[in-house]
Amino acid sequence: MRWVLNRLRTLLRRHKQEQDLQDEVAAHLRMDAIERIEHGAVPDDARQAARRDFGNVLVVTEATRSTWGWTLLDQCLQDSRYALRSLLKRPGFIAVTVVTLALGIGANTAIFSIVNAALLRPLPFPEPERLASIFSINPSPNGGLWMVGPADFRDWREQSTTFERISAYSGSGLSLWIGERPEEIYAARVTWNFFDTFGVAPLLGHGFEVADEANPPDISSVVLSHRFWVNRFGSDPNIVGKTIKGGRSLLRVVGVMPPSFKFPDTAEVWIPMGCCGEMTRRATRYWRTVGRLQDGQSVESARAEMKAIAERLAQLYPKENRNWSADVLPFNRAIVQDIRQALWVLMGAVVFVIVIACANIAGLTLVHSASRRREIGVRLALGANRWRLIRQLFVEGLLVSVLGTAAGLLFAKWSIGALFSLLPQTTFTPLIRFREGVQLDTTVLLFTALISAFTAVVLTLVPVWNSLNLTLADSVRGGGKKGTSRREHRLYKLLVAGQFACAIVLLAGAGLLMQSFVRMLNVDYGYDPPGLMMMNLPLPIQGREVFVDQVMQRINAAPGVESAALMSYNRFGGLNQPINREDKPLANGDVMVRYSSVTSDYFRVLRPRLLAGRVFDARDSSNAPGVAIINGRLAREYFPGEDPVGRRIVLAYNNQRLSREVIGVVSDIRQDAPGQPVQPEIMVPWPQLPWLSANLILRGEGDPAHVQKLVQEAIWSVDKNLAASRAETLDEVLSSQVATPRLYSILVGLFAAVAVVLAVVGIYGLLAYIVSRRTNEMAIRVAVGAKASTLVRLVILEGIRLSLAGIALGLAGTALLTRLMRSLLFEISPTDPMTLTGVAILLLMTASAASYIPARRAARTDPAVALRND
Amino acid sequence: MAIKARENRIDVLQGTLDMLILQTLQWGPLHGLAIAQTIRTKSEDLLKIEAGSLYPALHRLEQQGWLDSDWKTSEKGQRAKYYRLTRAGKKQLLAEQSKWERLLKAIHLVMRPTEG
Repeated sequence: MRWVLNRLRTLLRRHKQEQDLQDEVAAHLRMDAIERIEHGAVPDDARQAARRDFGNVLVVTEATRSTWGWTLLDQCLQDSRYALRSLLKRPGFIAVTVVTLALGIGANTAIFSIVNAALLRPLPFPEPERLASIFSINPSPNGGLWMVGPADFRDWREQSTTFERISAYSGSGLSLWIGERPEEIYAARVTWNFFDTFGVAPLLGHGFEVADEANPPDISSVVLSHRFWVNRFGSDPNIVGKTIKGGRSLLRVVGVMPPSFKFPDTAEVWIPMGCCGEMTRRATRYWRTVGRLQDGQSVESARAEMKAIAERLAQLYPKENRNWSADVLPFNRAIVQDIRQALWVLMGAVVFVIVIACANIAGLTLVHSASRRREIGVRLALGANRWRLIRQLFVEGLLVSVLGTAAGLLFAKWSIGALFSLLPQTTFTPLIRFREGVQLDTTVLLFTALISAFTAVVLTLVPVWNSLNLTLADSVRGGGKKGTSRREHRLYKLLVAGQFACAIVLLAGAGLLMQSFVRMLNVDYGYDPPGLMMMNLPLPIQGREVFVDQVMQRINAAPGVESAALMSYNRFGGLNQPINREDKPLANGDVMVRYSSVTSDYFRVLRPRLLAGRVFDARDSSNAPGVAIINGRLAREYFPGEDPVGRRIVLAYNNQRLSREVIGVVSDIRQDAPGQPVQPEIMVPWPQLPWLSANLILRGEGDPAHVQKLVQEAIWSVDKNLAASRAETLDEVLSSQVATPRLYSILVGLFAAVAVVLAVVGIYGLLAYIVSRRTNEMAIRVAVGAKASTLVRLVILEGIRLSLAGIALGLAGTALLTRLMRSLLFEISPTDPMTLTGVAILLLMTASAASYIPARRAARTDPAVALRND
Repeated sequence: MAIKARENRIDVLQGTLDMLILQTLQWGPLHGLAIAQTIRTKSEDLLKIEAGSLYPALHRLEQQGWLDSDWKTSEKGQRAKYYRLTRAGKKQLLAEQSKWERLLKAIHLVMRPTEG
């Protein structure tokens, strides 16, 4: 601001100074004339004589002005005007350069703005660096970080000294009565100190209290999100203390959070959790944690402590916790775990794009500066200041890069919107939650400025370097056709080969991601997704069995419904329980497997193949002997070479050990996203072990809205107080599972396409340039009888040699770089030879095609040209 | 006559113009034209200061803080920009004078006709 004022002041002063000078000169002339008249001259003559004596007014004023110290600014303005004129004379060059820069800078800005929002910007909580998440570490080979069992959480919370507070959260649906109808909304279940952990105080009322954690769910407290309070309660200032009727209970509003607090992002309300024995579950790991470290404690010290506590717990509770450990991650990393690597890969990809763009522009500039050598040489010969010339070239480069940056920012703004519209609007895609945070803020603009400055340097360095050691003799000889052109060619060739090296890296990355994506789409789910729909089924507090029976009967009988079943898991994947073999206990104790409670129709809906035994039927009622069905994976893993049917499995369930007879083996039903391996799974009959929440899966005709209506009618015919939630087709659910990989492959694919186009433009430009510089040679060759085909081959071979050099270099780099994206790949090696060969051949073919046009031109050289040219 | 005068005219040595201006201004403020005329008259028409040298020099000296200027009305009723010596300018003049004297002496020593 002060800088601007200063500038303005000097500009004003400058204006006054200029006026002063004009006045001074005028006074001089006037007084001189008056004196001459006094000495007897005729007024006209006197004025003329005065003027003659004074000399050239313009020259005098200019010379005087130069003492003011303004010259630099003046010259810069002049340089800009000159640069603009010189650029406008080359509209083709400026268009290609600006578009190339806009693509490069735009892509970089867009991706960086996401990286900035997701990975760099501090979280909107006080002292976010003190927040950390604790995970369980699953000892099995594919284990990694897991969520946390409530009992483990409770013990950690009690025993930890490095954490000031530890809280847990978990998602849940909630039925609320607002007005006439119950409505299903998304609620986060949290431990009582959740808000205190983040250090965010409610806007109205207060957060939860210790007692809330123990409250039975029929008199629950609730904290509203700001959004929910505004939209549904019209910002009612007296909301605290009021009660809302929930599907199963009454909810008392105790507080409203400020608008800035959005965690978990989709939460509309928060309700307490941990009551009614939930805190005693150890083997079911479904809680997420966030803790605030004591002042002065580090993540490392917390990690060491948690590992020690986890080790003690593993010894105390070997059945549930044998070999389980714990890990602590900074909270900002914990919540972006799944996209962290992908974002860095994308960032790497766009950096390659900008490098290629710069190499391309450098090549173009080189050609243009070569054609301007004569001009520059002559100006140098005429005594132009070398630094002034360099400065002028620099201003030209700067101008192009400023134009490119402006276009790039527009492009980035547009592409961020386009990018998010490629993602389905579900909570499934981890990127979507950063949507609001992705802005062109100061950090992003600073980054853009940095790239822009880098491109400006590239844009100017090439012509400057090229003209610096230009001697007078060179320019007089006609732009230095001999010695300098060789050096120039070498630089240009290096630039083109470099572009190919970068392009092949991007192309290989894109190829690998696309193949992964296709493989994900072709994954065998173990069932046929078309025609399947899924939705949450609300359950009443009391009389669940009757409710489930009646509702399911009605739904199954409804027209258009082929079959419908209940299952315990939501959106596939999530529930795990430890099991063991009863006859031959496993050497390492209980193993964690997928656990599903399903009604007998489940097998009619999903139609897995029956590998052995039978599926559930009416016989497996609540008072019949306990049975279970296992999937093929479990059978192979824990009953290798045996027939599992008839054997018994021990299921650790809510602190009991239940013995179950295996009555059947069915083919694997994939519950996990395609990137994950299918887990061993045990299924139990719903009537024997109903789960707390129920999910409906249904095969039938009609769209989700129709099915939702139908289910709603079935529910209301039994219980008027419960609301059906939105139905989703399985296709929707599955495609949102692969939405993020799809986005990655689209993005890297786009970057690769841009890279290839730029590389092709680069090689075309180079060959066209070389051909035009070698017209003489070509003409002589034609004159002495070279065939057109020979000349074509000559040029194309040059193109292939160059691109091959680049590709070879690039492939070496690819092998190193694609390894970094291993976690994004699915069923394909980062150095998959087929992909690498494929993209290399593709690029080589494109390069030869691009070489063909200049090659044709070379072949058509008129031999007479050689005579005419010099 | 006019032609002869021009032939006899001496180019002002680089650097001495500043001194001449400072010297001229030591008797009181003058405007640009008057400075040129004074130098010309005092040098008996041998030195003619071109406007193209005078004004850049005046502005430069002003920038260096040796001169100060303001607009005043001349005795003939014309508004003109008057330059006057500042304290620093007076110091500078003394320095220039002694330098000039030494230079003159040196040149004189070199240029005196050699004996025998």
